[in-house]
Amino acid sequence: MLKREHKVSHISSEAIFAIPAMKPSKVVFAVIFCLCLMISDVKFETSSYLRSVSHEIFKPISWVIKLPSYLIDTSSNFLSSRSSLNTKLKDLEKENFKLRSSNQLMKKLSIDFERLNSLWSSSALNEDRFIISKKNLLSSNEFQPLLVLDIGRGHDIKGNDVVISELGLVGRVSNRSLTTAEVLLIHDIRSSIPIVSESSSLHATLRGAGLERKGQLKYVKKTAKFSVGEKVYTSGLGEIFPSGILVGEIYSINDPADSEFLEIEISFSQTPLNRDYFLIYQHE
Amino acid sequence: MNKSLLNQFWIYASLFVAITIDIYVLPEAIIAWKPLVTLLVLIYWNMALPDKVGVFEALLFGILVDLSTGSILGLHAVLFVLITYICQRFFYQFRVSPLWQQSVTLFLLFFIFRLAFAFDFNDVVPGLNLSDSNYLATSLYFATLSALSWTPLFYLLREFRRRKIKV
Repeated sequence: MLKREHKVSHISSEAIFAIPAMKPSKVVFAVIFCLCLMISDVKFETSSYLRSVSHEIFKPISWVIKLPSYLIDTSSNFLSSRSSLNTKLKDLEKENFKLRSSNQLMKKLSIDFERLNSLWSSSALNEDRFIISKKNLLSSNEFQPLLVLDIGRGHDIKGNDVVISELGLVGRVSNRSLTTAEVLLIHDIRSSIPIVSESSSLHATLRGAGLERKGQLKYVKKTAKFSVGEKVYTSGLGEIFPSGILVGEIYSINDPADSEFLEIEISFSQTPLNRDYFLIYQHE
Repeated sequence: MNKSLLNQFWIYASLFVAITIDIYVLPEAIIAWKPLVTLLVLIYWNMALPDKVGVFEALLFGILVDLSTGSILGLHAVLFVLITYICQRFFYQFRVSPLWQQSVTLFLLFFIFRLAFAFDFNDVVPGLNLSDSNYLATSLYFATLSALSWTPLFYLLREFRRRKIKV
């Protein structure tokens, strides 16, 4: 009987069938190591590079996972007499998706154009700058959800490029690796977006509060005249998000007695759940 | 291949499959409360073969889960290490108890595990705390679903262990 496998009695030299417990010193060392990792991540964001590498490593696994459904789709398309029509339909759907997104952007822009009567000065969004990208994964982290998109090679996507869907703003690219891009969602508690309301044209800052939760407008004075149901769009201040992208609508307005600011909840116009394709708008 | 190495390979393989399930397979409709399969599998191996799994595996897979979920690096890892220690410390008691009791224990363990993620380490939302009723509700769903997943996972992994791992 090997001594390292079982305890051996020093009196009778018989094996004592007990598995030695884990050494607490090991656990303490591991906990200290983890705490160092956490502090370094909070202070210096050390995980961002490691995360992009890990997405690249996990990507082949996602291909393997998606392979059966891909094979089934491909074979059924091949066997179907309408296969060519299907392909065309998919292409048209993608094109339609692009057009709907740009239409939604143009809608708000056109309101501003009418008001200001300066059509030419505000047409900053260029359709050629949109890139369609497929979702790779959406993490289950409730307060800091992580959306990873496949971007392929050859696209010059940078940090802070805007991600949208046909329903409105999704977030911005926070980090990119060779073939994937991480998106800081507007639902993320770290997200902060300058917005403007549709009819009252009041400016404010929108904070995320977690996935499937309402966003919150911060530091809105009690004299502000927002109304429930009013749509909010990106204001373009800060020059990260182009102006006029739909973000959501005002869900509720509370006036707490113990605060000098209003509590305004925003229901986002879109959610990254159950959605496969997104548009990335490249900055100039 | 060496028998011990082969055993280790199968344990690692099962943990990699679990992490893949966590990332890609489980539906997004239950994203806030889907069970953490990696942790369940780690607990199983800690209970079934405590001499084959330890701090290193907990640390490694904790960091991988951190990287895949985008949480603060080391948060899952430290919780995995502590749960591994608890499992190894009490695995004699845990292993002989009936499955429903194991599930109840895991329910409590997963509920506490989930609450650790309510702490706002980046300090960006001063109002975020454990009094958030939505978060408590999703934590309860998460713990319940994890506890319910334990029994089928236990039988599945036991079958896998009997077929693949030769002690």
